[in-house]
Amino acid sequence: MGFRERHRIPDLGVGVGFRLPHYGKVLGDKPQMDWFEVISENFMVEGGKPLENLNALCAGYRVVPHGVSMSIGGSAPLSPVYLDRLQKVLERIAPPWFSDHLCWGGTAGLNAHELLPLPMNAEVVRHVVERIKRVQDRFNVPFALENVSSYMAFQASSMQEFEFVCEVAEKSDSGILFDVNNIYVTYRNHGTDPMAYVDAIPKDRVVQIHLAGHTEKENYVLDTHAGHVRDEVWELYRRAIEKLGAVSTLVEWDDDIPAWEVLAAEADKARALRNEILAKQPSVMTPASV
Amino acid sequence: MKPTALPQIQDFVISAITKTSPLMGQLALAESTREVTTGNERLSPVEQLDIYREQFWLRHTGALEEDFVSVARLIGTDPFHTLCASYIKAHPPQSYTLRDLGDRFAEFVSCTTPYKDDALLCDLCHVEWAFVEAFDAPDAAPITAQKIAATPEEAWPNAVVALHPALRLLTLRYPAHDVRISARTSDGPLVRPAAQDTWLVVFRGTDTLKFIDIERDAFVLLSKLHAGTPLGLACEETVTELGLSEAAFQAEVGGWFSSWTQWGWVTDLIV
Repeated sequence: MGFRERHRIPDLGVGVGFRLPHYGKVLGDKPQMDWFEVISENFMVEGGKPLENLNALCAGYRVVPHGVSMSIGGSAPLSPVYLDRLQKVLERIAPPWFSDHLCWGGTAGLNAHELLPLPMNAEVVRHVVERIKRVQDRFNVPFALENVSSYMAFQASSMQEFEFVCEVAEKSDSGILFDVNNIYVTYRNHGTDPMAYVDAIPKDRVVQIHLAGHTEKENYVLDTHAGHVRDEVWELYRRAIEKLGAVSTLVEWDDDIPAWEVLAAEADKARALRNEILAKQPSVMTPASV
Repeated sequence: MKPTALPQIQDFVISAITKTSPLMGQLALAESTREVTTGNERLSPVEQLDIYREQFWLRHTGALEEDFVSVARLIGTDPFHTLCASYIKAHPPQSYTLRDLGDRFAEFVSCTTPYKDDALLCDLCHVEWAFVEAFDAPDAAPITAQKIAATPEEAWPNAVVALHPALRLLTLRYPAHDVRISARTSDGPLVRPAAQDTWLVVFRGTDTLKFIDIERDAFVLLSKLHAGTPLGLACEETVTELGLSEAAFQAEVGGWFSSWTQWGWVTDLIV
């Protein structure tokens, strides 16, 4: 039995990130949206408006927390304070899964607040798998890691990124948050084959897909989560849904955040594409059926 | 030595991306970076690493700029960014959250030339940070009328007055909170107010953060209660320290408590 089936990972449909400019609209008007993703760290606080907003969101929608600071690939020990606070967020939300990034964020004396890529080799796989297992032992909620975009590659790498992502997931028995925009950014920055990446990802481990915009710089592509999802990324998404089936999808828009209607329209576009592809498939699990 | 183990690689990357100036001009670093990262046909290894360096400073300076809007406006963007770089060098980010990045900023500014001599600027740093702290401090329900009524009269002198965890008390040399408001409501140059002793309380209202400058005598008593001094002793110390007449103090204190309770500052009486 695969990861998704074993953990009864539901298909939540298409959602968006819960971001500050939309708090009033979402909590006030309660617009239609399949689900929301929240940044875990924004709610690892002791009280006040953040927790009030989170409670209100959870009362009206399905919510999944997505972390940015666990530093699962770091050499410094996992922070017990961080894990304690994450536990409180998970208890508050009771999500079907939670996620962070397959990356590292700093050393013992400094947190760079960056999703830094890892050298991809067998030693690092062992290191990360051991740490994932400690996280899984701590929390009784399925855990998934997202493939990150990157702007540098290490001499110490001996595996392709999709091999690294798959091996970490298999050996740790964790889920994959499959970010197709990150695959595109990495392709542009490193020349990897994005379609081969999509094809290599094991269907039963993908719990969620991310879509986002990015920014073209002179000599590289920056993962800014700004602007509309680009056509090339929609193509990757199409391929991903064709292969993976009905997987919860999330549109991220974190920079130059537009009006709610623009973001909701981007989610509608993803939903329409997803439905079109799923309609051609023999068996479809819809949000209403879970 | 070529770094191959993960801790070595990570130490190298952190050391490089926290440098304040572009890595491309640093020849020794360019050499050692080639040992760590591959580069490609468009970007050299050190140029790849520099993307992360640039992002590190943008992200952290941006976070400080968001938390200390009025400070940035008062001294100007470029000097503020230079100040941020000095601060981050002195106090590298260690918390998992950028929310904590500015927790020593006011202390740093008050020790840093030339800003340490700018009392308004130092006050502004404290005011801005008080709002950050009050925003997500723990919740606490206000004390109820029943609880107050149920406290026997003889228990009051030894009672410890529990105040809301979000309450922040600031003794200022300038009405810096007015500058904070101006920085958020107008784009024009900030006007420096005249010096004026100010006793400011930042607190959480039902829906927004609030502040009020209160009179000195009330502030002194409130500060003692905030420090956990029992009510009777706090009142005695306030009267003595400020040289107040007992009668004048008694005439005021009931009104202060009434306001503090109404604003949700008092959450419990621990007897």
